[in-house]
Amino acid sequence: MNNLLPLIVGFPFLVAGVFPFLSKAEDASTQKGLHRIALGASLVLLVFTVVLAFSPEAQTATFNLSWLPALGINFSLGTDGISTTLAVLTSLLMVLATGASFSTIEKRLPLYYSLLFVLIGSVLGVFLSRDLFLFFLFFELELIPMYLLISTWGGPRREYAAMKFVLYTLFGSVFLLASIIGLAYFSQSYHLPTETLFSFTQLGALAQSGYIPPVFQLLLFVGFFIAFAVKLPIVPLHTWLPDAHVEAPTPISMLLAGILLKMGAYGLLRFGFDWFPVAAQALAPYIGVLAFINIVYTGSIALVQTDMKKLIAYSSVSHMGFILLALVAMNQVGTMAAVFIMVSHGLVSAALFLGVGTLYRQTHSRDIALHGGVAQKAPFIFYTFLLMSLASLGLPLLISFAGETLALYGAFISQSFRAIPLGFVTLPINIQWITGLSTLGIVLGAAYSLWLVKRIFFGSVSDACQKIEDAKLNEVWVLGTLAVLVIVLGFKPQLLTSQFESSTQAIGKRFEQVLVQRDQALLQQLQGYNPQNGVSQNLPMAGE
Amino acid sequence: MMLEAISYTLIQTSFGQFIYNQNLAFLAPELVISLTLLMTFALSLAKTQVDQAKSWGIALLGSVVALVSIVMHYQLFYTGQASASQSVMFGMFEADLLSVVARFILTLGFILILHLSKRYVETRLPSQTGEFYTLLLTAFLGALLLCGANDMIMAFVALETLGISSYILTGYLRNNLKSTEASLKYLVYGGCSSAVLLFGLALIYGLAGGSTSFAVLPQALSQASDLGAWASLAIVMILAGIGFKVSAAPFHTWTPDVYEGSPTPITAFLSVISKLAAFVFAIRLLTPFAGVGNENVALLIGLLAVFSMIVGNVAALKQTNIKRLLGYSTIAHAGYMLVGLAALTQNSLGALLFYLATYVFMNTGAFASAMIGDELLASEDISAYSGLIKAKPWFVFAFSIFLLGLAGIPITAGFFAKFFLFQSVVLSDLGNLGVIIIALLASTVSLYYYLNIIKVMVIGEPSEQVQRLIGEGKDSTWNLSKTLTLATVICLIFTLGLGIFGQNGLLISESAMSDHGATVTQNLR
Repeated sequence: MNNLLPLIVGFPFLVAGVFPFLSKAEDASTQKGLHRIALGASLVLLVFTVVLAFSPEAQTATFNLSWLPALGINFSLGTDGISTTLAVLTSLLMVLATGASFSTIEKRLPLYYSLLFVLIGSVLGVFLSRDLFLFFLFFELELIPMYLLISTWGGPRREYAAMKFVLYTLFGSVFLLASIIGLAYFSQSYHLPTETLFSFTQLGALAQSGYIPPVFQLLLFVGFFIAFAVKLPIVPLHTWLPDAHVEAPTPISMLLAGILLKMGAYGLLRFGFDWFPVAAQALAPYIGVLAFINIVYTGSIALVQTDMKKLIAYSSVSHMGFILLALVAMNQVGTMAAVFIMVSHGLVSAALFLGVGTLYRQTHSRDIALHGGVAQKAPFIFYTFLLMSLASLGLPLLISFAGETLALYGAFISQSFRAIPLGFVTLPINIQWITGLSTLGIVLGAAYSLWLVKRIFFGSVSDACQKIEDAKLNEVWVLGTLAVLVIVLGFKPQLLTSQFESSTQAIGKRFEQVLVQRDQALLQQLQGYNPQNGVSQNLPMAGE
Repeated sequence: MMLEAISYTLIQTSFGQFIYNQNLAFLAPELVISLTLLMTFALSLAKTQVDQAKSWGIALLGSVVALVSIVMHYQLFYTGQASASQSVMFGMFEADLLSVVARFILTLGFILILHLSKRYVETRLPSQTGEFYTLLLTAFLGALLLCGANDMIMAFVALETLGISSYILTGYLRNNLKSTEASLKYLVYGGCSSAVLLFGLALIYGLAGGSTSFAVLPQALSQASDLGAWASLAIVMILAGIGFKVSAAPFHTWTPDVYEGSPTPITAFLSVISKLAAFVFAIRLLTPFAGVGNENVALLIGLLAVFSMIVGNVAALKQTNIKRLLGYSTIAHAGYMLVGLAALTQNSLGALLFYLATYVFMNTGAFASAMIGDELLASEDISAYSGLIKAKPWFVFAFSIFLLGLAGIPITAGFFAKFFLFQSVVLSDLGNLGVIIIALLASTVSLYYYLNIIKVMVIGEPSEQVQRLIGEGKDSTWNLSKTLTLATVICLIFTLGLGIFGQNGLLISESAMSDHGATVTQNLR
C-alpha cells in the first residue's frame, strides 16, 4: 500500500501533463470528450484515496525518497487520520468540481483541466507531505494554477480578485517560510540529524520538547499562525476571500471553499497548535477573541449581503471561526470538532456554491434582489439548496450539526484560558464566555441562510427568473451526491469520526497535558513555589 | 589521452617551461579566449559579410574549448591533485575552486549569450559582426580574469577590460538614439564608479602596508584592532564601485536606461556575466573582512540589499517595456544576492554562488524570450504580448517558467535558490531573520509584475500583432532563429532542473567557498 502515496500525489500532475496535448477544438463533441476524460481521471484519483482510506495502513502509511539529502530535504509522504480524511475530501470534491465544470466551463478546456489537476495535486501534496520543505513547496505551487483559474474563467473583476488572492497568500507564506527556516535553525543548533532536517517527526519533536526558548516558540507560532490565518481566513486577513470566491467560476469556488480553506485549518492544527502548544495556550485568549469576531462579525456581514455568492463566502469565513474556536479549546473534543467541520463545511459550502452557480449560469446575475420564486421553476435546485442551507445553519441530523455542536461543547468544557490579559488590565472573560457569545453565530447562520432561501426561492417569480430551468443532469448528480453525504454523515457521524478519531485524540491529549502542566505550575506558584525553568522545560520530548 | 600527450610535448619547450613554472596552464581558458578574440579581430578586417559571419563560429569554438579546459581543471580537484589550487602569475590570479566554478558558470552563460547574439547581429549589424564578437570576447575575458583576480591591479584591469568593452557594446546600434544614450550614460557612470573604486582600492593598499595582493588583507586587517575611519571610507568606496557593477540601489540609476537602450544580447550580457563576475570579485575582496569589523561591512551591504530590493521591486511595478522591467528586476535580484553576501559565511556565499548560477539561466532565458517576443511582435511593449498563448503556446509556457523562476515560485530553480540562500543566511545567525522577512516581502511584491506579464499573455485579448500571427497560422514565413531557440530550451531545462536535481550544484558551490575560505584563513596565519 505504500506505493499508493506517491501515486496519489503524482497522478494529478501526470494528468495535468497530458491535457495540453489534447485537442483544442471548441466544438461540443470534443468538449464533451475532454470533460469525460477529466471526470474519469478524477474518479481514478478518488478510487486511489478511498482505497488508501480503507486500507489497514490508512493511519500509518509512509513513503520516503531521499531527494536532496545534503540539505535535509526528503520527498517524504505519509498519512494519519487527518491527512487521509482530507485527501479523500479533496479527491471527492475534485470529482464533483469536474462534474460541475460540464455545464459552466466552455472555453480553453485543455488549459483549464491542466491547471485544475496541478492545483489538486499540490493540495494533496500539502495534506500528505511529511517534510516541511515539501509542504512549503506544495503550499506555494498551488498559487499559480489558482491564479490562472480565477483570472481566466472568472467573473468581471476576476483579475483583481485573483491577484489579491495570490498576494495575500504569498504575504502569509513570508511568515511561514520565516518560521520554517527559524525551526531549521534550532534543529541545527541542537545538532539534530541534518539528513532529516525538515522531517515532521524531527521538527515536531523538537518544537514540542520545549527546548526552543519560549520567546522563539511564540514567534515561530505567530509565523505559522499568520500564514494559515490568511488561508483560513481569520479577520482581518480575510478580505481576499469574498473577492476570490465571488469572481471564481462555480467549480473553482467549490474547490476554494471546500479544500483550499482547509489547508489553512490543517496547517494551524498541525504546525501551529500541535507543535507549539505552550505558545498556543499563551495566546489562546486573543485567538479566542479572533474566533469570536470571525464567527459573529462575518456572520453579521453575511446578513446584509445583496450578492448571493458573497453571502455564502462570508458564511464560510464565519464557519471557519468555529474551527478556530474548536482549536482554541485545546482538548480532544475540540480537535475532533475542528477536523469534522473541515469536512462538513467542505461538503456543504461546495453544494451551496454549486446551487448558486446553477442560478448564475442561467440569469447571469448574482444579485439576490433580481431573483425570486425560483422554487416554482426549479424544484430540484430548491430542495437541495434548502437542504444545504439547513445543514449550513446546523440543523440536527445533518452533517454540520455534529461538528458545530462538538466545537461549542469542546470549547465550553475547555480550560484553555480563564481571563484575557491586556497588559495594563485583565479582562475576566474566559473561554466559556467566548463560547457562549459565539453561539450567536448559529443564530446569525440561521438568519442569513433562511433569509437567502426565502428571497431567492419563494415569492412571485421575478422577471430575471422567468426562463429559469431546473438543474442539468451533471448538476443533479453532483448535488445529489453531496445531499446524500450530508444526510448520511448527519445521521451517522461516526462513519467520519472513526477515520480520524485516534489522530485527533493523540493531539488533543498533548493539548490537555500542556494545560494541566500549566495549571500545576500556577498552583505551585500560588503555594509559594517558584519553578525556575517555567512550564515548557519540564515537558518530555514528544518524539521519544 | 591525446591532449595529455600534446601538453606533455609542449611542456618540454622553453616557452612551455615558462608556462609550467608560472602555472599558466591554469589560465588556459583566458589564453584560449585571448587567442579567439585575436582571430575574430582579424576576421573583422575582412570585407565580405560571409567572412565576418564566421566569427560567430570561432567565438563559439573558443568558448567551448575554454569550457572544456575549465572542466579539465575541475577534475584535478577530484583526482586529489595537491596542485589543483594554484596561484598564477606571481599571485596575481588565484586558480582555486571558486574561480573554476565561477568561470564554469560564466562560460556557460557566455555560450548562451553567443546563441542569443547570432541572429540579432546578422540582421542588425551585418557589416560589423567581427567587431561585435571581438568586443564581446574582450568583455568576457575581463569577466573571466575578474573571477580569479587576487590582486588589486589585476582586479582593476580586469574590471576595466570588462567595463570599457561593455560601454562600446551598449552603443552598438549606432543609428538608434536610445542605444547611443545608453552607451553615454553607462560610460559616464562607469567612469565615475571606477574612479571611486580605484580610490577605495588605493586606501586599502595603504592599509595593507603597501601590498596590492588580496592575500595580505586578512593579516593586515586583523592587526588593525578596529577599522579606522580610513578603512571605513575605503569600504564605502569599494562598495559603491561594486554596487554599480551589480546594479544595486542607490547605484542603480543607469540600469533601466542602459538595459532598454542596449542591443538585447548585450543587456543579457550585462545582467548575467557582468553581475556574476562582479559578485565573485566582491566575495574575494570582502571575505577577509568576515572576521574584523564584520558588523559595519555587513550592515553596509545589508543596507544596499534592502534598498535594492525595495527600489527594484517597487519601480518595476509600473513598467510597460519588457527590457526595462527586467532591468528593475535585475536590481531587485542584486538585492537578494547582497543579502547572501552580507552574511559573509561559507554557506551563505556558497548559496549565493548557486543563486548566481540559477540566475544565469533564468535571466538569460527571460532575455531570450524577450528577443523571441521582439522577433514575433516587433515590439518590446508588454501590451503587445497580450493573448500570445493563442498563437505560440509553447513560447508562453517557456517565458512563464522563466518569470516564475525569477519570482521564486516552485518548482523552478529560482525557488530552490532563494530558499537555500535565505536559509543559509538565517542559519548563520538567527538575527538575520528580519532582513529575510524584508526580502521575502519584497519578492511577494515582485510576483505582482512577473505574474502580470503571464496574465497578459494567457488571459489578455489578442493584440494587433498577435492577431496577425494567429491569422498567418501555419503559413507564416517567419522562422525562429535556431540558436535562439536552442538557448531558450537549454535555459528552460536548467531553470526547471537545477532546483530539483541541484544538490550537487549547491555542494560544489559550497566546497568552492570552503576552499576559498581555507585560503583566507591560511593567509591569516
